[in-house]
Formats: sequence, structure tokens, C-alpha cells
Amino acid sequence: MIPRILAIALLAIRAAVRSRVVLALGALLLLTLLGLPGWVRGDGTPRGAFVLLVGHTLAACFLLLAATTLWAGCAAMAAERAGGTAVLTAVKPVRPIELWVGKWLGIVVLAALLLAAAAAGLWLQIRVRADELPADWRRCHRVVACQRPEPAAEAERLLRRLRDEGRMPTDATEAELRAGLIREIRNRYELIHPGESKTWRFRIPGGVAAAGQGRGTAVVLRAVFETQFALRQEAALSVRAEIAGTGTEAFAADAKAMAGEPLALALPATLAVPGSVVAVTFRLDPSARAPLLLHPGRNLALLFPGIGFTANLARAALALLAVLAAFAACGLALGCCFSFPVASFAAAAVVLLSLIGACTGSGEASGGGEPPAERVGRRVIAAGTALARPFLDAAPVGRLARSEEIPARGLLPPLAAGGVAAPVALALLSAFVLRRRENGA
Amino acid sequence: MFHSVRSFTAIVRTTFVETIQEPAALLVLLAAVFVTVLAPLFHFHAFGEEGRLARDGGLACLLVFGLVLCCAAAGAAVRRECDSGTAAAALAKPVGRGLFLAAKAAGVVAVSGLFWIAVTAATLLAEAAADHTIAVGETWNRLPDVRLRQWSLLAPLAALAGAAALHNRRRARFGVAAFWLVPAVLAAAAAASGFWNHAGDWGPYALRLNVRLFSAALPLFFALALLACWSAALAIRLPAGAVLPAGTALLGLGLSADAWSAGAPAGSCRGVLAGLLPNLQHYWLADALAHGGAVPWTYVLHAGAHAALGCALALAAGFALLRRRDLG
Amino acid sequence: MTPAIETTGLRKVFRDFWRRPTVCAVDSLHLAVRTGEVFGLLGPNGSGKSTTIKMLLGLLRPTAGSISVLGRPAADIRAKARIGYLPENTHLHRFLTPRETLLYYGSLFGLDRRTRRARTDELLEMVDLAGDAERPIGGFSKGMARRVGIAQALVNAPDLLILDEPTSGLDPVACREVKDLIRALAAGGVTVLMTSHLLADVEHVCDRIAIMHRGMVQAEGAVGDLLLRSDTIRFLVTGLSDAEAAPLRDELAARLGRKVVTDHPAVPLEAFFLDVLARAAGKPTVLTHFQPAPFLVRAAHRPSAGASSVNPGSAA
Repeated sequence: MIPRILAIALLAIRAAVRSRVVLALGALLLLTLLGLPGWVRGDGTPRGAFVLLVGHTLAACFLLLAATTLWAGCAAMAAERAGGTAVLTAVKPVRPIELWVGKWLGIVVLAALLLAAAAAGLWLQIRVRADELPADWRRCHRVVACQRPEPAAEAERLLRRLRDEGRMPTDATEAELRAGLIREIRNRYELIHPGESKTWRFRIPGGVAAAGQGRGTAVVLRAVFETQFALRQEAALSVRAEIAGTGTEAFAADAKAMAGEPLALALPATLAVPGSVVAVTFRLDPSARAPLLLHPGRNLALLFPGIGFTANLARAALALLAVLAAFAACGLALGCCFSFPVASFAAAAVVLLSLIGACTGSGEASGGGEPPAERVGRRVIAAGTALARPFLDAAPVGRLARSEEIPARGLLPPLAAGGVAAPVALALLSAFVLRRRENGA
Repeated sequence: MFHSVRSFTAIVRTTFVETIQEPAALLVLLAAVFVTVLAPLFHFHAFGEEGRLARDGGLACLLVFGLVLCCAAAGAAVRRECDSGTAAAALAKPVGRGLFLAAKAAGVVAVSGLFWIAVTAATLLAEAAADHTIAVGETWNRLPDVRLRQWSLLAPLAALAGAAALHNRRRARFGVAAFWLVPAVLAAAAAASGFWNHAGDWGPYALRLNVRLFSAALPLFFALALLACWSAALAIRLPAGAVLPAGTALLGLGLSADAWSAGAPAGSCRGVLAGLLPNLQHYWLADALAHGGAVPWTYVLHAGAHAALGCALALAAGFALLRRRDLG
Repeated sequence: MTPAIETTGLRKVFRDFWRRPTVCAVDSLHLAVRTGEVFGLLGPNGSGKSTTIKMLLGLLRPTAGSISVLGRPAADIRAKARIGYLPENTHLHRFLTPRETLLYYGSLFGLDRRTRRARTDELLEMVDLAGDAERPIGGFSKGMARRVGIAQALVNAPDLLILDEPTSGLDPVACREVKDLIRALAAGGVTVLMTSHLLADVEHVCDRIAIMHRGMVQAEGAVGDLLLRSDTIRFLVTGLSDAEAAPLRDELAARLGRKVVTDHPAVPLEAFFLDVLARAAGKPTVLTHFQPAPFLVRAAHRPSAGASSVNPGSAA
């Protein structure tokens, strides 16, 4: 079985290389790598240049690779059938699933090589343009978010309170209320009024502390405050940090936070005790003119020294490869079911819907009374988003551009989904179709 | 002369049928129609005018999906015939190469015409069905024409059902029948919309479609004809798969012509290129329809003449390439 | 002995999208091909030959009936491992060279690397493509591509060889070599099922034939038995002139009381053609002593030394 699969994979690679598709794709990737940063203007800041170089360029290269991988998958099966070469393969002692896996492997290997080349090209560009980039670009940060109540549990708690107090709304079902509460809790901002203090807790995970202490680098507290009506104003804050339960304050400082701009404070490494809980308290100066808003889920985090940029780039490439593997599987499945033009069209629809799904989010309902067509559309988007959840959550390009460490454990869901679950499911479906299909009719 | 006309007509007819029987052609047509009809459902913004999203979206679908259809069809019609040897078989008859190429391009233009009818009808329906501010009792509300919206969605489905019935009963080719029926049923649905008003009340016939749309849609048909002729010419040398990217590049250059060719001296490369390549901005006139505006018919005629000249140039270039090409 | 191929009541009806029957390509086909014989499946276009072959190979599913190929169902992987197939139109990967093609198909049969390489070299030598082994097939003529097709059908040293129009696109020299190959394989115990429109080829090569028309077998049997005219006797005498033959003919006619016809037998066109080529090349014969690739020759059935490549069916 293995030699047959490898032979088929090698044939798929040869077909792509000798058909000049790989050459054309390589040229396009080179054009994108070199042309995009030169053509698109950044915001003039080193961080902006970094985001452009890392985020947009890599995303554009990935989009190119994704579309090509999908179409290559369609062509691998459908074009063989149209060209008649499928007959000679069908009479050989090759099982349909071996054929499918071999082709999938070939396409994934080729995609991996091209992705690696794109990542290497990006890395070289960054090295060459290092003086335009932020000084700390070489090291990523490991992000530890603050502890927050689980939205579902918090919603249940609120519902129970409403029920006990007899204040349950009557114009919506309990399920709608629950969904609405969960949505609200996820998007909730916390208010700090002038003179008021608010405390958030961070649980320090194990591996982080060792890295932080070993390098002697301070832990960074990052917060982005906002104001109502998005007013640009500066507010005076006092910040305290301690290991919860010790009563000993490890850090105290006054700071000025500009609304909308990140506030970064270096905390002592002594706070990075594995398994401990660090409590950070913000107190807004009483003289402040307006309260500050903070979204703890999005805009509050402790940043620990993480892995280097190169290692993070490699992790991002791995996560992207998982998506390409899923696209290859999808393309092959379409190619098994349809002719090449129809499969290509369906593949284009898949790419467009993926883009729309990634942009529109989870497809949550806007509320009651929406037209049936809109409801159907939202459900379709929600289903697609649910399928793509392992890949969306990994968010490799975004994290790389924000210099956030992509956790190694965080690679497991996309790799499992793209490297195992999607190919297995689609391979079984394709094998079923191939067995039922008649060749040479 | 008569013989040439007969040969020309025969090749046009064969190209037309070959193109519309491809499943991909029907898929492109249906995608354009459904995107046009469904887009207004996601009414996130009115763009300052009722029905504008539907109208502009429909015209954009006409151009973009039309580009895909024309370029892919021209590439397949010309290149595939050259590669498979059927072009050689045709040219071994008393058929000139120029006539052959012109007939191929004309066949693709004919397909674009049918596509144009379908998407224009869908655009008219979508615009008429979009949210309009109407009086409901003593209040004013922004409401869609639900019945027309349902008819717009059902019309292509009815056309497909009709094609399936023809395939079942008379063994007619499904793709061919569907490609004819979709524009016909959509046009019929558009015409029938005059029997009720926006609130859904039946009454005497009163056409409430935005017929000014034709003055903006017709230039887009001319643009598609231009793209078809250029694609047919390019397909003589380029592989079939490369014709669509080349057509896309032509579209991109054409729509941005004013940006890259502004101020270019007449004898410069940019100037020559600007003179040769079609400036598709002359054909995109969606904004002219805003707030009750219309495109003058004299402009439309001039656009037609401009497109005819462009097609002739493209076909002349194609003929020059085909003259020297070895076939078979 | 179990037949190499056996079909019982085989039927294939093609249906349209609505599942309505459109064409009955094969109808109630009972076929038995014995192990080690060369069997010809003949018939006009549309008679169901290719459909039958595709069902035997598992490419099409029968509507009714049963198929046994080498003792197993048609689409069985274990059966496919022992079958070599040459389709009527050989679609090969245009970007591969002949060597790469044979190595690829060899890996699909699970052959180890050494065996694959050895067999590839032998087959390329046999089909006279050793000099073009590294050229992409996309630049080959139809005949050269056909040779590659023949080679790929033999890479697994099959027990059953199915050939659909094996001499299609080949020049007369190559046709002759293919026929010699088929006979050599059959002598080695390989079962061959072939179809062809060139009836002369079938007559010279096949042990048994079946003639199909409208999906049914109309005649089946050994070639000699089917073509034998048992009511007619032919005497062949060499070195006799027309003047000498005439009185003998008349006497025989008088003695028998029947019409006696004499004529000069014709050399088969193939033999004449090859002879002309040989004389033009200044050689005794244009065909060297054709030997199939060594791995195809079964040990127990090696041909004796000096086996002739002269057409045994010639009237000479």
C-alpha cells in the first residue's frame, strides 16, 4: 500500500512541476513577496511596516496558495478522468482510497514546499529590512489573558437570578435570552469610573514562568483603554500588582493611558510564579473627566517572553499548512464528484464562502424578525464557521503580525482538523464515489 | 458570398450551442442571477437611494461574471478547436481563417447576449423588489416587494425545472434548454411585475421597472463583446487556461485606464497602449443612473460604435496570429 | 480447469439521467476463455466488445449476470494484479517519459525497485523504444505511444492479457511483432483476450473466437473449425505450369463428374510487404528473430531454439 501511495504522490508532484503551474505559482509568489510591501503603503510606523510585511504579505501568499491548492485538487482527479489516463490506473491493483491519499499527499507536499519557500522569502525580507521594523521584532510574546467567567456559566447565573427575582422577560424564550446574554457577556466592556478601582486576575501557566525567569526579562502588562464616544483623552491611573493571597504588593506605579493606545508596563519577573494567580488593580484618578472602558478579553493581557520570530513563523507555517491540507482534500473530493469545470466553479464558491465566513464572523442572529432567507444565510455561515473553527481560532497570521506566540498546543486543533479529520472524512466520501463511478462509459 | 454567409452562420450556431451546453456556462449564468437577486436581501446599507445596491450589484455581476463566461468560452472555443484538430477539419473546407475566427467570436458574443438578457432582467427584478419607502395605512415603512422577490428566486428554478422536463420528455440537452429558459423566464417575470404594486396589491398593468437601466446595461454588453473578441484573439496563442487571467488583466487595465494612461504622450508606450487597449471606463455607467439619471442614447450608440471598432481591431490582430499558425 | 474468464448471462444496459434504459450494449453473454488460449472477440462497431471488456476489468458494472476473472469477481484487486490491459485508445501521461511510465505502473503492481528497473529496460528493448526512453510521451507519434501502451500492459508479467485493438496505429512490422509476441506469450501459458477489426490478424493469432452483434454472441468456436470448408478439398502442387495443370484438371473433373477449379494461390500482403522491405534494406528478413522480454517467457514453456517468425498462416 505505502509504495503505491508514494508512487501516486510522486506522479502528482511531477504532473504539477512539469505542467509549469508550479513555475507560474512560484513567480506569482515572488511577485507578491516583493511587490506587495513595495506597492502598499504602511502607516509609516515600524509596527505598521511589520504588520504589512508579516501580516498582509503572508496572508496574500497564503490566499494564492490556498486557491491554487484547491484547484490542483480538482484537476488531479477530474482532469485525469477527462484525459482518459484514469482508465489505465483503474485497471491496476490500486484501491480508490490509495489513489486519493496518494494524490492528496502529493499536493500537500508541493504546497508545503511552496509555503516553506514563501515563509523563507518573508524571513529574508524581514532580515534585510530589519532597520525599518520595531526593535523587538525578533522575539514574540506569550499572551496570558485574564481570568473571566465562562460566558455560558455566567449567563446561567444571571438567568437564575432573574428567575428567582421574578424578572424574566416574557417577550423572548429562555433559549433566546441565554444566547443573547452569552453574546453580551462576550462583548462586554468593563467600566472604571473616576476614583474607582477594578481588579483582574491572571493565572500564570507553568512553562511561561521558566522562560521569563531564565531570560531575566520583565513581564509586560498590556492594556488598551477606550472611552465612551471614542474620545481621545489621556487618563491618569495607578497600577498595582501582587500575587493573590500573599498580601505583598510586588508592583506599584502611576501611569498615563491614552485612550485607544496600548499601555505597556514592565512588571517584575518575581510575579511569574508558576501556578500562581497575579492580581492587577487599576485605579482611575478621581480627577479624570470620564470613565474608562476596558474589554478584558481583547485588550488586557500579561505578555511573557516567548519563542523567537523564526520559531513562531515556523508554527504559523504549520498552521497554514493544515488549512492547505484541508483545501487539498476538499478539491480532490470535488474532483471525484464533478467534472473539472464544475469542480473548479464549486472550488471558487468554497474560497469565496470561506472568505465571507472569515469576515462576517460566527453568523449569530441579529434578533427576531429577520426574513427566512437571511436566517438561512446566517445558519449556513454559522455551519461553515463551526467547521472552520479550528483554523480560525489558531489565527496564525494575525498572531504572527502582532508578535504573539502561537502556542504549540494551539496547533493541535488545526493539524487534527486539516491533517486528519477533513482528509479522512473526504477520503471516505471520495472512495465511495469512485467505487460507484463507472470508468470509460 | 452566400456560401460564406452560410458557413459563418453554421460556425456561429455550432459555437453557440457548444458553449451553452457546457455545465460551467450554466453555472456561471445561475451564479450571476442568484447573486444579483439575493444581494439586496442583505440590506446593510441603502447607499443613499432605494434599490441602488441591487442595481449596481446587478451591473457589477453582469460585468464580472460576464467576463468569466466570455473569456472561458472564447478560450475553449478557439484554443480547444485548434488543439483537438477540429479547426483543421473546418479550415480544410472552403472556409477562410478570418471568417472562422470572426464566427467563433460572434458565437461567444451571442452567448454573452443571452447572458446579458438574463442578468439585466434579474437586475430589474432585484431593484424593483428592493426596500422602498411606501405608505402602509397612515405610516410610511421601508418594505421589500415580497411577491416579486419570491418570483425572482423561483424564476430560475422554474426555468431549470422546465429544462429538466424537456430533457425528460424530448431528450433535449439540459444545459442548452436551461440556458435559453433562464433569461426567458426572468424576462417574463420582469414583464409580469406590472400587475401588482410594491405593497402587493393587484391592479391594472403599470410597468414599474427601471427601464433607464437598459441605457447603462447595453454598454456593458458592448464591453463583454470587446472582451470576447480580444479573448478569441489571445486564445490563438495562449493556452485555454491562460485566457481568463489575460482577460482579467484586460478588464483591470481597462477599468483603471484613466489612472495609468492619464497625460501619457501620444507616441509613448503608455500612449500607444492606451490607444490599443479598450478603455472600459467608457462602458461602466452605473453612477449615471443615480437619483433618476439616465445615459443618453447617443452616448450608447457611440459606445456601440467604439466597441465595434475595438472588436474589429481585436479580430484583425487575431487573424494576423491565425494566418501563420500551423493547425493539425 | 477453471476458465480464465467466465461470464454467465452478462447484461449491460446504459441508462440516461432519469434511469430510463437507452442502449442494451451487452445481452445475455455467456463466455468462457480457457487458460492459456488466445481468444478473439470480434464484431462490428457498437456490438458490445469494448463494453464486455470494460465489465471484465471492473470499469463498468454489469446490469445482470456474473463475471469470474481468474477465479475472482471482476473488480477484485487480486485479479487486477494478474491482468495486463491495453485499451483501444492509449491515454498516457504526456509529461512522463516511457521509462517513468513503466516504472510508475510497475510500482502500482507492487514490484520492488530492482525488478521494476530490470523489467522496464527489457520492455523498452522489446518494443524498440530504448533510444527514446527519456523523451516525454507528449512528443511521440501514435505508434510510439501505442508501443508504450503495450509495454505497460506487460510490466507485471500478467497471467491474463486483455488487448483492445492491439495493432491499431502500428505499422506492418510492428503489427507482426505484436502477433509474434501474443503467440510467444500464449506458448508460455498466458491467456490472451483480444479484439480487433483486422480479421486477418485474428485469424492468424487466435485459437478461438466469438463474433458479437448487438450485444450477443452470434458464433463461437475454434478458428479452424469455424472457417473449415469441410465440403471442399484443395490440392497444392508446386512447380506445375498452367499448361501441365490444365489436362490434369480436366481429367479430374471428368472422373469426379464435378467442376474442378485451379488457380495460383496468393502470398499474404503482409508477407509480401515485409519481403519488399527486407530486399530494400538488403537483409534476408526485415524481422530479426523476435524474442519477447526474458521475464515474460515462462521457464516451463521456453520456445525451442530456431523458432521461426514466419507467419504460420501463410498460404505459401
